[in-house]
Amino acid sequence: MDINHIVSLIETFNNSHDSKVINDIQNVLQQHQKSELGIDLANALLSQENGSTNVKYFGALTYTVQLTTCLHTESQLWSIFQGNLVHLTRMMFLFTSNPAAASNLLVTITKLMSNLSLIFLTINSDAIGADSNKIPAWRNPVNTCIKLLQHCNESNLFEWRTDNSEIAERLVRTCLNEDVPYTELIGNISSSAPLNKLLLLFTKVIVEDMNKYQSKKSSLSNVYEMVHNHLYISTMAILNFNLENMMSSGATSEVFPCITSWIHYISMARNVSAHGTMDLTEMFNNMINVMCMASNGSQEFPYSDEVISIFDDLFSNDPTLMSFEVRAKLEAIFLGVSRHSMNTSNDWMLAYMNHLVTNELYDDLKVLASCVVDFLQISNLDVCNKLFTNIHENTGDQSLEDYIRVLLQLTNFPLIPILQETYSSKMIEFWLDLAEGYGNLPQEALKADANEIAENMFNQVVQIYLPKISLMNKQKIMEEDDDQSLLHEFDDFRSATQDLMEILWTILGHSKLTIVLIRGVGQADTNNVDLYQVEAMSFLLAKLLDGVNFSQSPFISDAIGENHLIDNLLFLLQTGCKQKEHSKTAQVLKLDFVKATCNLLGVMATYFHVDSKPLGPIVESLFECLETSRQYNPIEYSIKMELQLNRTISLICENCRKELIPFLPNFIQVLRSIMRPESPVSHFTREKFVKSIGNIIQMCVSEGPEAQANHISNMVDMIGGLIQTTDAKSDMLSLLACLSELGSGLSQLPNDDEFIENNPMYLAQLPAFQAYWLQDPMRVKDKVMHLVQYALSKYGTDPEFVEVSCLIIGKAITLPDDIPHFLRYPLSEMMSFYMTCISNCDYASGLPYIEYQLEKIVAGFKDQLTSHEFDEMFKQFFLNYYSSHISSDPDLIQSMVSWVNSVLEAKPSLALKSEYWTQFIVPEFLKYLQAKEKFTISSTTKFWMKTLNNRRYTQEDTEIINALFQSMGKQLVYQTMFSLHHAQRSDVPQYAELIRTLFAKYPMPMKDWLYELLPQITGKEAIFHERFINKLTVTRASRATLSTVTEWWLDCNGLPNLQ
Amino acid sequence: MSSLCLQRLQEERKKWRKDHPYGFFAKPTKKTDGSMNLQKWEAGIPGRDGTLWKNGLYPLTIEYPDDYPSKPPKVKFPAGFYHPNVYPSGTICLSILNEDQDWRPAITLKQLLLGVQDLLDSPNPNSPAQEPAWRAFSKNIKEYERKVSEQALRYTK
Repeated sequence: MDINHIVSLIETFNNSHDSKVINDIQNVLQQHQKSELGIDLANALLSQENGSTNVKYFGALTYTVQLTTCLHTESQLWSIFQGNLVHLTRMMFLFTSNPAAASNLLVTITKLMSNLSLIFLTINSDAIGADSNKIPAWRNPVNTCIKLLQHCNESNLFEWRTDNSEIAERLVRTCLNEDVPYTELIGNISSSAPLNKLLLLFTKVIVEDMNKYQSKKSSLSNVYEMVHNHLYISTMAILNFNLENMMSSGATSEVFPCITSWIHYISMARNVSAHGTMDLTEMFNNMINVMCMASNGSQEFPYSDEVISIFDDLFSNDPTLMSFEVRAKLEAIFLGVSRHSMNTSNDWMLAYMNHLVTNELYDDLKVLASCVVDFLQISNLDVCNKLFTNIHENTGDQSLEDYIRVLLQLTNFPLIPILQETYSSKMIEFWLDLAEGYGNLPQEALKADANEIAENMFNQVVQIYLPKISLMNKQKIMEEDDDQSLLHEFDDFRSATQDLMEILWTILGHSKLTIVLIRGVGQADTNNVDLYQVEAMSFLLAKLLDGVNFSQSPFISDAIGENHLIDNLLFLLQTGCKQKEHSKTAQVLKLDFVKATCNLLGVMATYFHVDSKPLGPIVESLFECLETSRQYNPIEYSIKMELQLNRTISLICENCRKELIPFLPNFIQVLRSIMRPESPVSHFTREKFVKSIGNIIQMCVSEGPEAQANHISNMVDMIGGLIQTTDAKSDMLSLLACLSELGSGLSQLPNDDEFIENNPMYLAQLPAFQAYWLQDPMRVKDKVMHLVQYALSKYGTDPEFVEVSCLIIGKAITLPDDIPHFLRYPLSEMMSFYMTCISNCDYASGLPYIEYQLEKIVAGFKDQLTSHEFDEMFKQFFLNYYSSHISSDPDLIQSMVSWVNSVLEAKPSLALKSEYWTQFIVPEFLKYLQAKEKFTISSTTKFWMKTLNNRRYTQEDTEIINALFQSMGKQLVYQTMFSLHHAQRSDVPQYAELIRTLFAKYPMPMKDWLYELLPQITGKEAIFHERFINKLTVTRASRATLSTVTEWWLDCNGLPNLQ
Repeated sequence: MSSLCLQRLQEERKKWRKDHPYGFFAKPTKKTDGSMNLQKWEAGIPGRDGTLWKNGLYPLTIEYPDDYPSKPPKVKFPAGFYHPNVYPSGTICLSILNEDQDWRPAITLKQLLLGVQDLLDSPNPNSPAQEPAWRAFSKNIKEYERKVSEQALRYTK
């Protein structure tokens, strides 16, 4: 080992930028580190008088490699232990003698401490009960360091080598477990600030490693005990000494990271060991004193932020680590009031908050808010009980009232939420828990005036949050800072406030919350309206009114009708959509205005059953905004507004079909406008608007079928005219989609009984409408068919056109027979259309859409279809394309099998009596069991399961199947087991289900066949499969069968069983 | 519901309220008597920016079994949701939701929902759950993208 060469390699390794050079050197260095000479190398590098920081660190790292990867014997461990202690002592001496000159040693010192920490864990993990050759338990690394340092001085520094047995062997053994009395410890750290710093660092490194290794090492219980009995005592002495002397010149900030690490350690250890519980009361009391230190006439708070940050962490993770008494003390300091009748003063808190606000230290203010609110959460249940119940007889009402008053004041902290203060957002959690706690209290425990107290308090909470969630604050945030995360935080704050209102509603009810907000939105006339307030209240109302049955809640409906709510909402909407603004901030706020209005109007859609008068202005406003939003807003915002408006229009149309009939001409007028080729309105919006019109036309029944047909015909003509004049493919596709949406709008009935009860006229006229559409005197069906065919003549090979066309022609297939529809085509016409369609389209991409319609036809017309028609369909849509397309494409195979499955589900005899059943379907579908694609396997196994076990079979069908099974059952079992054997793991469940069906249906032959077939398939003898077969014979449940089959599959494929 | 399940769900709710990713929501549903049903949650996952799924807020239901957290919750989109790894019923096929695969009792609601959000734009073609989206994703990416974009419009935020 050439040490100079290695030193040179280390320097090149750290300074080179060539990744290849770095990689090559790394490999060489790692070989040295892991070699038998690794410990010698570490010593040599650490002993280099003039070695650089890199070289020394590499020496310490080499010890780590030896410790973690090359440790085989106790003597090796001892050598590493000695080496680390010797080098650490020497370097600590250098550092404490001249910290500035030796500051570059800190990184190596920390690494050596980390090595010793690992040794501390290793030695103490199995020290108890060990034999005499073992290294004895190591009680206290801090004491060892102090003792060794006492023997190290300038004159003997050169003797601190690992080959000097006097030091490395004798002195180390002597000092290993030598006690350091408290006075001696304090004397040492008080006389040397650098030593104080290093000892804090050492104890911190040890407990951090304890946290790191606790989940990886199994036997740390002895180590916890050792820490508890020794290291904890020394550390607390050092920490408390430091905290008590924070104002002195030698105070070190190293104390706070050390405290944090110890809190984390104890928090972990007390959950896993009887020795993990350690009292921190003295330390916490000292920390509180340090927190409250102020200098320069309360202008400076040197350590408050650091202590508060630690308390914040503590309260959010493990608050009970702090004793009740200390918490009571802290409560008085934080709030100036206490629930525990103590003398209280929060002068410090007020001064500190004033300092933070004056100096705009908002980040520190946020940490303080988080700390205080997390602290409050600890005692939430206690506050709840004291406020609302008789459980605590002696609670002073006045102190509790003061307490609540302070909490309300904190919530209402007079700064901009999120940007400057987070009390309001953090306090949501507190109020939520308090409200829920109140809701969960048993009635018999409540104070007589509990309701009054709750209503009064939570009313104030509502009043505090309304201005806090105002978009005016969002505006300020945007103007102040371009930070997107602050905006997100503000939006989250608003959502959380919505959730809070939902909970508060359970206490305040509609009368004290919903109605208050309704009146708040509607109180001012539009000349004098505060739009921000309207928005904030609307935002909350949307949540509270969601799901309200307005016809059964007259007091809510009356409140809405009594004031300017609708006017002000529409004013908000118009401002959002139509006020021209150029700044990004204004655009974002305008979009929020539109969202709030649209959401609330959508939620209120059923209100217009009670009072339809506002519908006129609402619809007019929505239309106007829809048509013009792009004129006033940049495209990225207008697209979003359009989606909001469109959704609200759809909701209102869906819910108020009858009420909107008088406005149908307006709808048509708007439609004409937005359908113009030059209109910027998106295809999606146009299509959904057509559907909304369809919803209204559906209710135009009072003047008989002809009047309704006129509307439909006019719509079809308008769309048709556009189809025939457009050249753009995407426009034509959208126009076809409009026809489809018109059909959808006219097929959708609100699916509640209320609709039927409220629309007797509609029900009574159904037969007349049915008869009308059967005749279709205006030839609407033909018009649509021609339009579809026209579009397909241009783009019939495009699968998107095939898809929409199929949807139009098949629109009414699944509607109940007694529901009239203008797109109810006779079976023959549909079949003819689909046949033309399949012959003209690209078969592979068009078949799935057509096959979907064929499935619907089978389900809808099963009683009319015959086996002959089945044969015709099978031939025209599948067999004719079998050799050219289907046989080589598993997706098309799957489509074909799926269609036959739909027949087996609807009317199996159609398939069983088909001429293709035995000729084609059975033999070919048997082969598909070997398919490799999941969905092909899935449809094929489903086919065989449906074939074997079908509840729709008649006696005759069952006989056909039994005969079939007798003739080819063994072949089916062979194919199934063969395919399973060669399947992927993820496909096993599908075969398992088929095997389960086979066993359930034909248990006797199955067993014999499996004994015969499995050895052929797997090449393993019958005895190998015996357990599997026996298990299958007694297993019926799906999951159990899967487990049995999977186990067999794993065994056969030589894979380990998961259990 | 076992006390372990109840305790864990209360903890999950608390954790979620304290810390959840932006744009997501998740909360227990209400029973008919107005009380909270901690075993059934409603949630919403926003599509990630810069993907086809952006602008959408996709609704989910989360049902926790009695033996949660030993067993995973059942997480479902609305029936018919278009995604290769979502079954026609809406049930999501994701390894961390599968008891036999990567489910661990320590997995939190936040991790689950972030996992589902991740799945939206990174489907796993090796675990297909529905045929149309899987087929389009594997063989006709244009159609897949069109349908995903349409779906995003339907679930616009």
